[in-house]
Order: sequence, then C-alpha cells, then structure tokens
Amino acid sequence: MRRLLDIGATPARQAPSDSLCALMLAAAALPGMIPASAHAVEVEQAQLSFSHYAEGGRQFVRGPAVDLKRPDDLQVDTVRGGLRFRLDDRWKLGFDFSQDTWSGATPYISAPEAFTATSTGASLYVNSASNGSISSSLVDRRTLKPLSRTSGRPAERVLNVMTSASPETRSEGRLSLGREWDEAALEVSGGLSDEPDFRSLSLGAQLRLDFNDKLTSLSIGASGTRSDIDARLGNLSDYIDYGMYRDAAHGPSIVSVAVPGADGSGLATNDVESLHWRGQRKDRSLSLALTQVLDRSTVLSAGVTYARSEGFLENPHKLVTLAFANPATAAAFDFLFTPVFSVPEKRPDSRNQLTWNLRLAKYLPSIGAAAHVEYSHARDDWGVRADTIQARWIQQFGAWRVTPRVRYYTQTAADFYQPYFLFLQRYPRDGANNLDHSRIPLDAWSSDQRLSAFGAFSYGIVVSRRLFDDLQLEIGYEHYAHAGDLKWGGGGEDGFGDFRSERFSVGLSFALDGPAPAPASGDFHGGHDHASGHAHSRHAGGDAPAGVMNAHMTGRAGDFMVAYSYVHDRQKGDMITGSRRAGDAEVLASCGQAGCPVRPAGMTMHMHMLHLMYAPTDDVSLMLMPQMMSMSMRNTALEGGFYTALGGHAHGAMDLSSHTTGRFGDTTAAVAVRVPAPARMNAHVTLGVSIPTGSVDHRMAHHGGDLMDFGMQTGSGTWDFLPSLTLTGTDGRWSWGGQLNAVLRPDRRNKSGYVLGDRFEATSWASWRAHERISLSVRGIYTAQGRVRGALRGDNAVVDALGNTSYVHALHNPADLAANTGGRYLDVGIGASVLLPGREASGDRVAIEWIAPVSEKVNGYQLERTGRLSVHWGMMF
Amino acid sequence: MRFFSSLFLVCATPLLVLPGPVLAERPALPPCAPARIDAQAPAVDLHELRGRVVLIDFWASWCAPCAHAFGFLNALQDEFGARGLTVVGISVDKDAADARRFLQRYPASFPTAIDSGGECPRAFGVKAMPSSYLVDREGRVVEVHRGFRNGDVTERRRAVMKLLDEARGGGR
Amino acid sequence: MSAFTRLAKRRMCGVACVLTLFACSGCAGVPAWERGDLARPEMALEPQPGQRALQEHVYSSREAGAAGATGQGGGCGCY
Repeated sequence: MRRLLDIGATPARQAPSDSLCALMLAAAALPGMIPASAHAVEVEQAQLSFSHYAEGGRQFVRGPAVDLKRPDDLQVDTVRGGLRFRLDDRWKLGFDFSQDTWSGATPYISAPEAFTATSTGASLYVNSASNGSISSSLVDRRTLKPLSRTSGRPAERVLNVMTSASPETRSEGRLSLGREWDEAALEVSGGLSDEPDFRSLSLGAQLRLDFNDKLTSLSIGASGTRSDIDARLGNLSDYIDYGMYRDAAHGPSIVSVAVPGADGSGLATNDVESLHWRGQRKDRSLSLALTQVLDRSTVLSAGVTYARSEGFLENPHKLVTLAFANPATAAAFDFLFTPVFSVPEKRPDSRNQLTWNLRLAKYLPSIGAAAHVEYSHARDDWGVRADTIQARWIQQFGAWRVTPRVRYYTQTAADFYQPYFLFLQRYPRDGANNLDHSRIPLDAWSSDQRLSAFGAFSYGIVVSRRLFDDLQLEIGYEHYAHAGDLKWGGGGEDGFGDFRSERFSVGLSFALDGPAPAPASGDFHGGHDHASGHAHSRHAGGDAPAGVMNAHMTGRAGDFMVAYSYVHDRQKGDMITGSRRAGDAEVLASCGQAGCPVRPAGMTMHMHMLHLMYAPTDDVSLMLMPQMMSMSMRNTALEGGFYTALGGHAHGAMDLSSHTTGRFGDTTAAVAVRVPAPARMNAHVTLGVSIPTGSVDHRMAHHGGDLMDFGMQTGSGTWDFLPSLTLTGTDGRWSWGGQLNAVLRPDRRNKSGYVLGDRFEATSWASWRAHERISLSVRGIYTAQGRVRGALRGDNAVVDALGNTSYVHALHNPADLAANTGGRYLDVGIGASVLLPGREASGDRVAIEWIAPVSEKVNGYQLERTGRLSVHWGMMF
Repeated sequence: MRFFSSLFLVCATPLLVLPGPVLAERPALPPCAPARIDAQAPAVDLHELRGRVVLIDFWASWCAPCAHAFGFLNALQDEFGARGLTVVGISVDKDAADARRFLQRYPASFPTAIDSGGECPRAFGVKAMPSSYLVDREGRVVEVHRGFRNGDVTERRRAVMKLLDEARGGGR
Repeated sequence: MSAFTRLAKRRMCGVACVLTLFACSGCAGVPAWERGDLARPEMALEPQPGQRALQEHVYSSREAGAAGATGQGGGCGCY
C-alpha cells in the first residue's frame, strides 16, 4: 500500500488509470478535513427565527343559518432557536427548540349539505344520531343522492364543518451530540415534544461514512419515537357517537375523566365529565442516503427511507359521517330514510411507508448561483402515493442572497378515505337500537382531508443579507395552495377541502465558527486558546442580571447588538388577598352575584424576545424588541361556586380544567440616551413605546366563549409608554447597578374594554466576577402594579326589566375581574453570567437569573407567585 | 471483476486508518512555482529556501479550517522565524481577489503566494484542505499534515522544533 | 411476508444497485484544491436548514406523504 505521497508521481492533467483509482481510494483514508464536499456544511451557529402562518380561502357555506359567523382561519406563530457548537476538534453539541401556537378553526367533519343542520347559537353540525335517538336524513331511491329535508331536492354538495379550539402550544426540544472522525461522523440525538394532546419522546442516530477522498458519503440513520396521546374531546355531545372507543380494552380508548368545571346546572364541581381519547403510538424509521460529488460544481444525493408507525394513528379531532340508506323504506316514497351517525375516525393500526428521494445541487460560477432540484416519491400500505418536486435557485449578489423556490406536491387518497360514507343497508344496531360498531361494513374510515387525493403548489422566496461578517438576516415568504384540482392526472377531491396559506418568517443567524479576525502577531501557545483575563466590555451594563430589561447600552457609533431573552414565569398554589391566604368562600364572594365556577390553580408563561439595537451615535441607541409568548392556566373548582349563563346560551356541562393561549406579544420600540454620570459610572435614559402587536381577544374555547382574563392575553391592546433610568458602575471585580422603570398606559380602553394598570419598578444589583469568565449577581426588585381599569367586554346580551339591553361578560374565574389585579411585590434574584469564549472583545455574555418572591401585597384575590427564570444572550457587532 | 474490486476498495477504505503522517523516506520537493498574490507581495521561490526549514501550507479562502490554521502558523513563524523556520502559504483560490480578501480578514505574518492553476497542489499531491508540508533544510519533505485540529498543534510544533534542531545537512 | 415488504425489498435492491454504481463513478475525482464551489454554503445539500424545518413542519401537518421525513418530534394532531 502506498503511504508515501504521490509527490511528483501523479501525471498532471491525466485521467487516473484504474490502478491509480484504486490507490487513490486507499489514500483517501488519510487524516484530512475538507470543510464541505459530499456532505452538508456543518456550521457552528446560533439562530433564532419567528414565523407566522395563516390559512385562508376555505369554502364557507352559511347553510340554512343566516347568523352563522365565518370561523377564524387557522394561524400558527412559531419561534425556533438553535445552537450548534464544537466542544473540541471532534465533538460537537447541538440544541434546538421550537414553540408554536395554533389558533383558529379547522375542519373536523364533512358531510353533504343535506345531512347538516344549524342550531340557534349559529353553529353548523351534522344532523346525526346518538344514544338511541335516530335522526334520519334522506337520499334519492334511485340515484342515492342526498336530498334536502326541507326542499326535497338533491343537496349533495359536501360541506366542511369547522371547529374553533382555544390556542394550543406545542414545545419541542432536541439535543444532539456528534463525534467526528477523519472519514466518518456519528450523531445521536434525543428530542421531546409536548403539546396538550400529545407528548412524545424520540431518539435517533445517524452515521456518515466518507469514501473516495470525501467525494462520496454514505449516511445511515435510524430513529424511533414514542408518543402518548391524551386528546381532550371535551364534554359529552348529543351528536357524536363515541361508543366504539368508549372504555376500549385494547388500543386507543375514550374515557371519561372528572375535571373542574360547571355541571349542567352551572354548579361548580371537580367532577365534570370530560372525554379524553388516550393511546400510544410508535414511529420508527430507517434511512440510507448516498451523496456523490459528480464534478467540481455538482453534487447528487439519493436516499431511501422506510418508516413504520403503529398504535394510535387516528386524528383524534376528526369525525366521520356514516350514513345508512335503508332499502326497506316503504316503496311509496321516492327516497330512502337514511340514519346518519357522526363517529370518530378509525385507521389501520399500522402504516408502512417507503420514500425515495433524489437531490441535485449545481453551482454555476459564471452567474454566481446555485440550483437545487429535488424529487421524492413516497408510497405506503394505506394507498397513499405521493410525489414531490422542488426547485430552488440561490443567487448571490454581494452581501445579499435571494432564493426563489417552487414546489409541487401530489398525492392519491388513502384506501379508506371518503368525504362521507353512505351504505345501502339498514344501519347495524345493537339491542338498545344504537349503532353496533362491530358490524360497520368497513375496517377503517377517515374523512381527514390530508388523506384525500389532492395536489399542492407552493412558491416562495427567501432573502438573506449578511449584516456583519458573522451575522445573517433572513426573511422568507411562502404561498401554498392545496386543491383537489391540482392532483396530478386529475381525479382529486372536490373543492370543499381547498385552502391556501401564507407564511412569513424572519430569522437571524450568527456563525460561531471561523476564528475571530486575530491580530497579526500570534498569542498562540501550544494549542491553548487565548483565554483572556481582560474582560473589557464595550457596552455598559453588559454584566447586568438576565432579568433587567434595557440594562444594556451600545458603546460606539455604528455598533449593532442582537440579544435573545427567554422568560419563564410560574404561579401556583393558593389564592391570596393582601399578604395572606384566602379561602374559597371569600374568593367566591369577590365574584359577586354572578359567581365563579373555578379559580386558578396554576399559571405558566413563556416569553421569547428578540432585541435589536443599533447605535447611530456614541450616545444614542435605537432598539426594537418583538416577542412571542404562550400562557397556560389550570383551574380548580371553587367550593360552592357557580356559573351564570347569560344571553340565553345554554352551555350544558363545561370542562374548565385548563386553557392556553399564545401568539406574538407587543413590540417595544425605544431610544436610549447616555446621560452624564459620576466617574466610573454609566447612566442612560430609555424612552420606549409599546406597540400593540399582541392580541387582547383570546376567548374560552367553549361555544359562545367569553374573553379570557387579562393575564391570558398576549398584548395590552394599548399604546404604552416605557421610560427607564439605568445607572451602572464597576470597581475591580465588582460591578453594580440600579434601574427605575415604569410602564405608563395613557391610551384609551382597548378593544376588549380595559386598560392594564400602570407599573413602576425599582431594582438594584451587585455582581462579582468570581472567575475571568463568570460573574455572580444578586438583586432586589420592588414592583408596584396598578389595577386594571375598565372590565372585560361582555358579549352576552342581557335585557333588564326596563327592556334595556346590556352586554355582560360571563365570569369563569376571579382572575376575570379588574378588582383582582395589581399589587405591590418585593422579590429577590440570584444570577450568573458567562463571558462567551472568542467574544471577549465585545464582552458578549449569556446570563441566567432566578427571581423568587419575598413578600407581596395584592389587590383583591390572586394566585400565589412561585418564581421567574430569565435567560439573556447578547452579541455585539 | 474490476467493478467488484473497486467496490471492495470503496467498502474497505474506512478500515485502512493509517498511522501518523511522518514519511518513511524524505522525497525531494517537487517543482512548483506559485505566483505573487498581489503586485506588492514578494515572490516566493520554494527552491531558494534551501537551508531553512520550510512549512508549506496550502490554503483557500473557502476553507474554514484554513482560517483556524492561520493562528497557529502565525505563532510558529513568530516563534521560530529567527531560528530558521519559514512558513509559506500557497493559496489555491481560482480568484486572487478572494485570497486577498481572506488575508485582510486573517492576516498572515508569513509570505503567501497563489497558484490558481493548481500546478503546485497537483505536484504535491494535495488530498485535503488545508494541507501542510514540512520541508527540511535539504529541501526534502519530512512530514505531511492534513486538516487542522487544535488537538494536533502540540505535536506539530514539536516536529518543527525537532527539525530545527537537526544539524544542518542531517537527516537519515 | 406481505406483498408490500416484497415490493419494498425488490425496490431496495434496485436502489442499492444504482447507489453502488454512482458510488464507483466517483473515482473520476475532483481534487481537493478544486472544491471551492462545492464548499460554498449555498451548495450544502440543505442550504437553508432553518427555512426547511419550518416548511417541513407545515407540510407534514397538511400532507400524507411526509411521514417518513418526520422521524422526530410530535405528531401535532391540530389540523
């Protein structure tokens, strides 16, 4: 074997002979480190992005009802972050998280118009039977076309019945660890995903082997996911027949769970019957991909993935219309009586899917662009065949990069998909005249439009710009259209399922790799990084505790700072009034005549905030801070509590166990100005405006839902004024600071009828540099928070004795009342911050702080506070 | 049959992990004449450096580890320049402007030239980027190093010191 | 063995053959110093991983063909 280099031995510009080829293969096993060849560029980076997705264009049929409101379209707000870095030459670590909040209406059952009806609270539903009460629709005796019960004419157009749910937030985290060898890499990863209905744990491993001077790579991957599904279906319905899954001994099972809420007469209880559909699901996949460099500017990759899923594969929030045309209907009629049932969907217990894909990337040096083309074909044993083709063009113009993209997708329907199922037979019945599920003449059924035959066409553009050497801003837009008519070869589903969607995203990524532009004379000693002891911070307040807002001030004209903050806040436990615990009786009394069925038992809030700061001069910084938040509240029944139904809406039993919200919050724009300060100190004044980009109209999910309380809204709904004064100082290893800040809300009442209270906060801290990189801090915080002015707007019309109509908010919870907001609080925080390696020159740090309540005096009746965690990561450019 | 033998080689390659890069024999420096990177830069003639220990580093602006390596190479040049070491960088960039931009961001304290045509890397049999060749005072290649990893620098520094300590005209 | 797995096996075999073929074609080679274009970030097999993740998240919750691609993460029953 030839270990010696072919120095002077390889004939120049001559195609290698076969024997030489073999030698080159052997020689490929040499320690080398080509940054990118056959496999993707591994960039060490930190990135953060926000995106907003909105659907629209769904067919909306008012049906027989005149007052049917168009449901809100589905919207999803997503925040994603990731961090990937090297631990050393060979090991690397990655962390990714994403959080998305879904709100709005989605289709949950479809049926021909003839089988639907509307109720007086203006909701469309499938006129179906349950619990022995049979409701018969009609179909034509000869053509089997559904007939309108009122006109007797065919009304076979399929309608989508939409349902609105309260927003749901899904959080996902993933940790990965990678090891590299000269000619191979292994990555193992584990992830957790959590949403109210769905919790899953996944593990995966991927091995990459490089051959052929790294011109060829083979990667082998395996992953497994285990999910626990606990779908909250809500209270019993008269129209839905859940019988087939009720208390099933095997597989997914629908069980009745006792939850806090109000019973049919409105009395508070912890025993409201709420249906939950529970089960487990396993997903496994194996993949194999080969990537080959074809020439100096072309890479081709081909792969195959096998995926198997088993267990609870149904979509718990989808129902199916089963209609049984009775052939024994008296011959005198030219129609058949057709009992209709709404049942949960039923899918096979397993699914096997194979996907092939081919990707080609070609660089065109003459125009400075790269073209990427991908094709994939997937087929499974449910009968779904899917083909996707996508093309991207990545054009570089100096610091700009523009990427237009088109994608076409087409799929065939699953064997067991139909928009509704019509059988020509008497409905199979059990002894009690209910539908006998075991004798439904099918093994599986679904009307989920994801399993229908359709096509989707999407196009989009991503524009990115390098702001600084290492910082990249990326803005993306995508338009997506789903339509039955777009199916390749025709024969797609009718238009009732068609929709379109748009997605906007904004992201920042910071490349961590590439050494900082070092001074020409090296300070390099035997492999040690220059761990600097000189932690000069270019920005004042750089080592302030994580929870202090606007503590930072850029140092020089032209400086740009990007920071990310995360805040997690918790309240849990008893209700308090003033500074003492309060019993249920007095909490209930505070709700007044209308009463409250429940009180809060726990509340959590997550907030992700991006800070963008730019210094036009040495003494002025401009700031913009968008944020995204999600909240969830858990309730417990108030002893003796009750719910007063208003406006003639009869609700029946209500599951009030918990509700969640999430969305973009308000955006703060601010200007910070340096003001004179004593020696060794810095002072700045910040004047900010909070722009009401958040929402104040999140509602309870149940029918005719009222507004959720103030704390569950993601915005204030008003333009607010945010002044603050910050003073910071340093002396040796010690630094300290103080800040006064306020939130003043001079605006008129927001569209939901209230203005949040003003807030005043005073805080001071001291921090000590325990190590050249690590600082520890302690701080005290005093907060005075004013009461909410106004009240949650009511939607329930109440007519008094004099015939005057007023609109009243139906109380669920003491937190719905303005009197139960605000107070004075004293907290203490402990924190730590770490100076980032390689970023000493700009003093960039990651800081974390835990804030614990010390004492409080609250207005009215409020839930105890537990604590708050803040994380702050700032980077200066 | 050839198909199967090359297939075997493809599959067996990862098993052939080789030991250190020190060469058993010291082959002579192949002919190679890189060009000036810009008009002001001094010309680099590898064969005129006989009598000095030379570290030839092939780099490119598109190669991230090459940038990491510059810190180490600068330190070597500063520490051992007076004792007879010359570090020579040879850029393989197609466009000299890319190489000059790279040098602005990652300044080199050693001379660097450019070979856009690829004659030098071809003659040296460069297999990876970066690749560096340690050359003794007689103009013979002693050691080849591929890639750059922080974990290797102590060893590489020692190899340079050892070669500097070799009596002039020494070797094996 | 189901018809499906038989079909899968036959296909896998075909794919393996194709892959092996173009694995070997790689002998033609691109020398290390000529890989500047290949090293460009826009030539990564997935040049926009962040955008891609957002897209796939939407596609996998709206289309049936993506099950294989989502080996990780939640099933999101929210459509």
